[in-house]
Amino acid sequence: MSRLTRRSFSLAVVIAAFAGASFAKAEDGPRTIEHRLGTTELRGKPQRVVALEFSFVQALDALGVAPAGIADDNQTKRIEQLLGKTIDYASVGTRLEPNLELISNLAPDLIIADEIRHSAIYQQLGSIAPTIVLNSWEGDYETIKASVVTIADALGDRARGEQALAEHEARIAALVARIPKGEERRILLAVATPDAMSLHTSASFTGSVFKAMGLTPAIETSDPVESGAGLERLVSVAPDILLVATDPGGTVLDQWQDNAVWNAIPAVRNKMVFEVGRNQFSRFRGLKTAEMIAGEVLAKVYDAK
Amino acid sequence: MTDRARHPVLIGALCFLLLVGVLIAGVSFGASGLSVGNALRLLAVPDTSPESALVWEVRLPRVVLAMLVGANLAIAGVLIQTLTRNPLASPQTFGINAGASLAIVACLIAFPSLKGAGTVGPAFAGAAAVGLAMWALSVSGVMNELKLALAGVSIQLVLSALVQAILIANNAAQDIVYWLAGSLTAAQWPKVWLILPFTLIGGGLALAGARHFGVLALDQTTGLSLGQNARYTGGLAAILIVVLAGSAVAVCGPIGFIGLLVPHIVRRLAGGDLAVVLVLSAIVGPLLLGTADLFGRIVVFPAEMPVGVVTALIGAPAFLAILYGRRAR
Repeated sequence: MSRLTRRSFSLAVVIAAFAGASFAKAEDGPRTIEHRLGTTELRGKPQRVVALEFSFVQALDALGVAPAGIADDNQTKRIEQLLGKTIDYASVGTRLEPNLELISNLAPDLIIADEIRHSAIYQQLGSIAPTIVLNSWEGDYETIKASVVTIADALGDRARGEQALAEHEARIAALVARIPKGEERRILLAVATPDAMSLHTSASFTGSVFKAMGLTPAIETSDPVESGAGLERLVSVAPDILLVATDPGGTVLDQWQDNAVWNAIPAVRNKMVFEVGRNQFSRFRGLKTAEMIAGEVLAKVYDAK
Repeated sequence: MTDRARHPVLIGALCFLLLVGVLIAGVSFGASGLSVGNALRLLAVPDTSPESALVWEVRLPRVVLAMLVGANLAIAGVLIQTLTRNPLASPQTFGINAGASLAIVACLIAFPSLKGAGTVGPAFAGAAAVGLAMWALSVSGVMNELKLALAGVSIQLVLSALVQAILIANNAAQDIVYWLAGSLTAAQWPKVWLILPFTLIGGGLALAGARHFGVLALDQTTGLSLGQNARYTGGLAAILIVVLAGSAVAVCGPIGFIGLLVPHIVRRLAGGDLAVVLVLSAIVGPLLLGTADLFGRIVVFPAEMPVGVVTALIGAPAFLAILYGRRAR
């Protein structure tokens, strides 16, 4: 029943997409985009877009637009990893403190900013170019999906966004179909830092992707991340499946593995601990990242290729 | 001993009992559902169960580490206040902690795989650099107590700003924000073994040299007439401060206010004899830090508040109260 509804919904989305496509072509006039900090008037099809968060870059890529500028934390490699390819863009500094002067130099016609990181500079960004503000930093899966459509709308091609979303949902559904029925084990993503772990809950992006996959996040709460968790906290959460996101270099994971308490975690006992890349699992957000997460969970936890 | 001295042995024994209480509380309390009775039973009679491992491999090293770090910071605080004849001196206010932190942060950026014992070297180097500068300023005599305290605070501010700059410029460094607040979350036996020799040697030498260090508290002329080479004795005290504070920062980040507060508390309790103050500080420091850590584990349960945040929250008003009390008298 639920699968049937989902399929008919996808169909409806595709139909709406075509309808929308013909509609969007009909008028390139001004349109009002609603976003987290109000509404922004846009006209035409913005070409020079500046993206201040990773998820926006992935959304733009899904919509066939190469951003002119990216707040890439001055690490081009991350953008390569994010998109799986090299693109031509200008760095506008870090996501935390994007360089307004560099943004202005690019003469953008659209800026996409994050609610949590960039609300304080919304006015300044708005004086450079029309700016829309979305929730990326604390955005869960549903929020990120909705953002793709909003960004498509801002680009003057809402239909393409809806189409990209429908295609994505079909791909996710195909992956999820391969997860065995009746999975009740609780899954946790923990990011290992040099002396503690940050636990990603049901409200985090990865946690909500787990939920969309029909899995059960080990921590059910409205706070996306619980940071500074020690070994005892991990034991009390007692995940059945544990994904540990690590960066290259030493983390607390190496130290904990020597501790007898580590073996008290169900996931450790049942050999259900998997190391995953921290960029993909905790820094990036987007449709493609969700597919990658689902794919990697399938491959690692369920041994499915 | 001054006339304010009141039964230091009694006070010491009382504080020690409290310390044992904090130790037991620290071992019996935690995020997992283990009951207090069970925890104590496992502490007395360990077995091979995971719960026993939790008590022995996670909680106990943490409590022991809090004791050692508390002792280190408190003894370093006594020495630095004596050496500089400055009641405002502490490893934190004189920038020693910040120096060690900056050196560690810089090294972690340069060598990301650095960990464990690897941080001790940079911590000592950073602490020593600042310690040397402060000691030079102190013995040069160009600065009075107040100016010296201000110089220390300025150095601390500059170093903290540099740490901030590194954190902002480098994303990977944001991971150590928790450590930078001063945290015992990552306590394990290897960290205990790392700091233990420095605590024993540093504390032992401080106590052994208490008679000589005590003379430093007097003015230099008196010291000279008593046959003391102030530069030599002061140099040794400075090395001890660097070793004690630096090793504490290396294992759990810069924890403030213990080094500043404990000497004042102890002097109020037991008077001014340096040997007595040192021994009592080695009990009250651990007591204070252990209590703060326990508090940090309870207040946002089941998550934790870094102990450095707790010591700042308790320490700042407590210090103001002490200063106010001094004036009122």
